[in-house]
Amino acid sequence: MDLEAIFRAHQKEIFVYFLRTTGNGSLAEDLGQETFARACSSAVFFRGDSSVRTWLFAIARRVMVDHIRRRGPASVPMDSDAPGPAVDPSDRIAIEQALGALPITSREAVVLCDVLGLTPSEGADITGLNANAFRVRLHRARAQFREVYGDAR
Amino acid sequence: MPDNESDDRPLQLRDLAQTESPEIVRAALGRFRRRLLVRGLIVVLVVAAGAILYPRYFNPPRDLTSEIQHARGVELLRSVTAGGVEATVVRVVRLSGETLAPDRAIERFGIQLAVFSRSLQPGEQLVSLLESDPDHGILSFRTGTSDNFALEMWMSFVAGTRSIDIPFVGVVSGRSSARLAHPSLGTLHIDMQQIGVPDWIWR
Repeated sequence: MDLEAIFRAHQKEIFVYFLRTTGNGSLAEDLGQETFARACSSAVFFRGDSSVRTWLFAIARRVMVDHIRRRGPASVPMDSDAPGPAVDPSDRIAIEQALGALPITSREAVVLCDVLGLTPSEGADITGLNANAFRVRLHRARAQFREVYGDAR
Repeated sequence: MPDNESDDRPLQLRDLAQTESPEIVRAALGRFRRRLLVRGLIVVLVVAAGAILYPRYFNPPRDLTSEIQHARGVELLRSVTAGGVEATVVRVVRLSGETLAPDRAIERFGIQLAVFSRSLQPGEQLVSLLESDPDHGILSFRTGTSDNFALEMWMSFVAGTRSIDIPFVGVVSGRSSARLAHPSLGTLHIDMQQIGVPDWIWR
């Protein structure tokens, strides 16, 4: 399997990661491109210690961190122009508002585990936290989300 | 605690992952190739600039005269006499190492010498018969004349060469020919230890 095919297999979830943490489609596209461009550069150093998915998400996270460092936390607001699932529009807006109300680190934990379905262990690997610290972050993020959105989910 | 069984239930947000993704891999590969090209060009430019600037600013001067003038050493001003030749060892310096052959790197030292002869007549010229001979420690030399009776010499030797002999002759040179007026004006014998050249320069 060549590099392009591997990247293509993960393209959608990397895009979703950025889309749901920034809420901005064009920014997500740009950060996604940057992620795969950096992955090309560092592919020779990938030793297979982690899965390709975790490796790509770790790069994506660094891209996000660099973006926030350059532009500030306000550069990742949750806009409502993000393409969403085919659900009740009012419900979708409420979900996005609840997600957008979370601090960026909490939002990221929810996106990784509850939107993209990664395990907390993978989330810990990607964020560089130990497993317990990541679980605590995820727990708090879910509680915050429920507080804003309600306990319907 | 097994994965996905945190102490709270996962949020049911998987629907948010169901979205169309734009084509980003191809654009990313293009971005990577452009970046690679730009970096390659920068490397080429830096190497080219280095190749141009290094010899100008960082390379030691290769001209023996300026090499001896700029190298670390001592102003000795010691007189040496032989026959009709008088000389003053003006400056002795430690020169940078040099590679004579791929497997022969050597250390060098240099001497600036001012030579004068009172035995010459008008029209006669002081000439050194020194020859470059690395096997006997003599690497290179350069001479300059201020007038016919005096000669200035810059010489480099293999470090460790303790003494050197420099023969001089007197020559009458015309427009189209030269003839030997004094077959042997004298041979200067310069012994580094005797004239007090510090060991760190010549050894």
